[in-house]
Amino acid sequence: MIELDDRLLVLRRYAREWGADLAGLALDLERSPELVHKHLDLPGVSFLSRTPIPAEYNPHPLVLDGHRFYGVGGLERVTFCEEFAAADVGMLLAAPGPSLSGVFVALLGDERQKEWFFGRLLERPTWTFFALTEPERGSDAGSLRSALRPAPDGETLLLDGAKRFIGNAARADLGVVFARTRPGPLGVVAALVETAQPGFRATPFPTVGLRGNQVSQVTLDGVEVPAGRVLGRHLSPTRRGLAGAVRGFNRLRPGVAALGVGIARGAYEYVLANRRSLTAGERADLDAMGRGIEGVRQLVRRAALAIDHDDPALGYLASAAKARAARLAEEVTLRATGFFGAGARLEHPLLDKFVRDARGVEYMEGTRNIQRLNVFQGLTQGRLPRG
Amino acid sequence: MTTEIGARLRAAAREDGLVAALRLLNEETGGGALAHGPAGHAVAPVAPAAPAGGTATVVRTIELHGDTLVALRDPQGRRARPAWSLGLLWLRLGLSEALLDHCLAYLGERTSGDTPLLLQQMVKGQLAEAVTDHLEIETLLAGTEPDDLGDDTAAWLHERVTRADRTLLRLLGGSGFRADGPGATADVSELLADAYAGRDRTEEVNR
Ligand SMILES: Cc1cc2nc3c(=O)[nH]c(=O)nc-3n(C[C@H](O)[C@H](O)[C@H](O)COP(=O)(O)OP(=O)(O)OC[C@H]3O[C@@H](n4cnc5c(N)ncnc54)[C@H](O)[C@@H]3O)c2cc1C
Repeated sequence: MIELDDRLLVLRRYAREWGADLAGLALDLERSPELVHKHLDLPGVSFLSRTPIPAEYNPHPLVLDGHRFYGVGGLERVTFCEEFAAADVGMLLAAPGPSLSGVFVALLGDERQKEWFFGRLLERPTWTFFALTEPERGSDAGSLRSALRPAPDGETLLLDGAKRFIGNAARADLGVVFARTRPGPLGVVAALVETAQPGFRATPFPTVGLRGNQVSQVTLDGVEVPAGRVLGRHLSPTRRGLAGAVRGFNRLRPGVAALGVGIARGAYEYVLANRRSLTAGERADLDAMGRGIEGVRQLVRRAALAIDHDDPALGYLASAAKARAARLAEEVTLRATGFFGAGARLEHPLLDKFVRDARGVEYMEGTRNIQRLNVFQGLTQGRLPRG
Repeated sequence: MTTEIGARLRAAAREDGLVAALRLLNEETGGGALAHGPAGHAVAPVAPAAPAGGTATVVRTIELHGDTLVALRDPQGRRARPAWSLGLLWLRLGLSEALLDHCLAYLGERTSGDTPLLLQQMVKGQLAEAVTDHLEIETLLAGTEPDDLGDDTAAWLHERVTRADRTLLRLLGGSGFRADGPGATADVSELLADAYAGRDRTEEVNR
């Protein structure tokens, strides 16, 4: 079993308390995602707005019971992701902060880029977005077409293309956009983009769940990007191209998997809190759900530790965890409704929300099929540890 | 159930959508009253007149592709007739088949590299699973008379439809999660099962 140390137990205890504030707002936030603006001072939201930021760029980290937290460690991240998602994944995904982009800037950015990006985020709560998926290409992200080309002045670059399903894009000030400078895997780059630039347009569209995330359609029509905002210019093309992107995704994936664990746990705890007089059969079913959640939690923690230990198997472990977490979230939320019989979803709006949110875990950071294909790669290439 | 009504409901769901099919179900098998589930819930297209009388409360308003449905709770609401309950299963099967049609169109157009997603082996296998679910459900329904359909069997069949839908929704990728697409219909289809299948467990809930 992978257990949390004292420091992370402290974080978990606080995150659980913060989560309780968020749960009370979950249904209102779902109805009007803009409500997040009113709750920026809640400790949970404030924590998210300042993490992950590496220690070198964050002189004033959150200190809890004498421990400092930057939100950058793998195990640290999955711990608070699970806690928040068990309360309300909507607020977690609605919150300002470096979020997914922060992971990429930390990994691929040079000194100046990191100072600029993290500095902006520390000034005040600022939303970021992260744009990879395109209307025509989701799973097959490697063949993306958005193009970054030199402007006629030779000084700056211009970005053209379209992105889809981009969380928080309509409320963000800045974010990371993946685009292509030339054909082939080495031609893929990630650039820091400001949404105030002419030519950037983000239009939210409605979703079945995860509404706090306000996913948007983005069009990029000659958006100016200073040459210095292309991430990883100091790295070799093999480290910054598609391979760099993959390293970033590997680091994000355990956190997304933790969302699935959290949603499942939220539904499971909802049953515990709201059902009385369980039969022996129901108790056994519930225990089995609990064991299922713990199993996937352990997979997620194992992947998270692979981040912390720079384990080369990270990508494969993270895919295994993410695939299982997506399945777990769907299964457990559906089974949880069975404990309330006819009208469960209609009478229990929070449970209904867990059911709908659970469906969204499948898509974020790659579908189950794509994760399975990656696990298969790890298996056949001998890169997945097997005892 | 006369297979004829079942076939019409299934076709209406597949071709005209959830709301049209639900109206047809009410007209053909409702017996002039709104059908309620085991715990007194009903989901109905908003009627021009007030949808229900004194003891009913609206628990939710559901928007679906420009139509509005209401979910009600009425402790005195009349339980759905067996023909209505069987018809609902045909209806949900038809919706699930429409979802499969969407998947085939989507996956045929979308590519990974130069290959249509439809030709990926995992995708083929998952589509085969879904259509096998449909075959199983269809076969079971075709051999069932309304009075033979027990509550537990109905609940089990509803769960099968939901499972098939979930497999298909995953195949639509993120577009299956849009509230303006087929994923929203699938969610309301699940809500229909929620209202009309399962046992009344109201007394087992902490209040
Ligand atoms: C709530 C939400 C938030 C999101 N946030 C972001 C974000 O912030 N930024 C961002 O860039 N993207 C985001 N996404 C997009 C997400 O990453 C994509 O939806 C996902 O990668 C799948 O792509 P797709 O939707 O185009 O599905 P498709 O690629 O069209 O896939 C359709 C189906 O085909 C399967 N499939 C595809 N290729 C293969 C294959 N080779 N073998 C077997 N099966 C295959 C898939 O598993 C899926 O079942 C978000 C999506 C959602 C729903």
